[in-house]
Amino acid sequence: MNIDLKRKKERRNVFLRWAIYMLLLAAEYVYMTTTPFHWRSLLLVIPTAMCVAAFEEPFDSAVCGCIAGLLLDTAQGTLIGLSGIILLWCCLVTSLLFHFYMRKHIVNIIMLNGAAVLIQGIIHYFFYYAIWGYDPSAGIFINEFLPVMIFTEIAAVPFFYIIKFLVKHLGMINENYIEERSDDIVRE
Amino acid sequence: MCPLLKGFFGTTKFKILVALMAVIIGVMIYSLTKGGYSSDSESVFGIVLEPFQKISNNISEKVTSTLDMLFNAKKYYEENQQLKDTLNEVYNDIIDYDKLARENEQYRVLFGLTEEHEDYVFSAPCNVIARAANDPYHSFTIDKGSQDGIAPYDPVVTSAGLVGVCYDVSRSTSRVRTLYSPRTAVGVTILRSKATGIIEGDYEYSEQGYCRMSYISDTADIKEGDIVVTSGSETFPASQLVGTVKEVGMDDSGLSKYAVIEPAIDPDDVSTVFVITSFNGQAGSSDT
Repeated sequence: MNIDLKRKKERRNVFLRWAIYMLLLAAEYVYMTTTPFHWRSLLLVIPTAMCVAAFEEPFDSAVCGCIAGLLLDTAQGTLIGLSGIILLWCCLVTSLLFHFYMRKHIVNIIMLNGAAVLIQGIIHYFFYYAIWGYDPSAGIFINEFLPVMIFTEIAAVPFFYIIKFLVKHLGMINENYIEERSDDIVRE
Repeated sequence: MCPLLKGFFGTTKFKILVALMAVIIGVMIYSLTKGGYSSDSESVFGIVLEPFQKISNNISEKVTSTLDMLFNAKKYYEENQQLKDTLNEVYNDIIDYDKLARENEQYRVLFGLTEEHEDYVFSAPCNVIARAANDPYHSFTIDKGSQDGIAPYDPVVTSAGLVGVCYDVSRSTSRVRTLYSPRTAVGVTILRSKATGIIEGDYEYSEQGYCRMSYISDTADIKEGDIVVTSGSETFPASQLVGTVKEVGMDDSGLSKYAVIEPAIDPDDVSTVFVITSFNGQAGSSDT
């Protein structure tokens, strides 16, 4: 394939891939803000950002995590930036770990996503309920936070495969060249 | 540390991330000092997201109402039958009411009373555009903000009564804290006996759709079914319907009573509200 054409196609793939990530985050934001109060709304932007971090570059992952966190802050009505910072660091660390130390395996992403969900949940609970003394018997944490955290954790599984599929089909173009042995080459 | 990993922390990209984090921390600190108003960055974020929220809310409402019709058709039929019976009773009541209204009008003229609530200034009708995800106290966002005259701590009502209070007001949106929240303390009166107390949200009650009225005198005359209205304060105008008494009991201390109140309005069912932007006696108004 022509090298210019290949680069053009790769750029298009990158653009498409990130456009899909952003649309996915926007759709999840819509889902989070329109769920009736008597239903639990899963914090789907967390597994999405974490799965993106598993496959993308650290810097891109961190920015994606930050956007996801800001959307989460707006959806939950928390101070803008609180989850933004948490997810920025979680995605950055996840991306670095997957780049240098870990295999891109579902078990690894489940563990790291669990850690991110737990950190975000505990910080949210601490600053908005625990320190104000609204939940002395931890009822809010057990009945509201814990189920959401567990189901958000489970949601990482489909998102891992969705992102993996996207990266596979809209990723770098690998060309395999078959070199044929030739006896005509004259070596000096 | 892995040399590649160490290399990343020295790159310009990492410095950009640190700068981004510093900006976010700055925005957070700035937001905390705004006293109920959103910071400019939050407003920008809100303006960007507002069209998404409106569109998504419309779609969601249509889907929910369609599903609701499909699944609850039998329930609505029974409700319809009950309502027909109730309507017949109401017609009879209207005849009595008409007589009383004429008498009342004469008394009004007699005592020179002004029209009720003429000191209120209402905002334009506000649509609910988002509901806070997993908030046990059911807070939500409306599509009117400071440019429509809304300020933090303005009361939010519907024609059926009090819903809550505004907080986190941006240029074009405001968040509403409902009566279920422990942060919303409302001074209230029992309409029949004039017994007073304070309504405070509580997680256990909010789960069941109730809130708690505390600090009621142990000698107060209060019973199930009593109507609860606001007693009037710098935040909430007087005589706004809050709900009805569901249950009465003695506090653990044995010094005062408490009551479980069923709010007149379920925030889940609210799609349009009004904000009272000014009333006589409001904190900061010229009449205070």
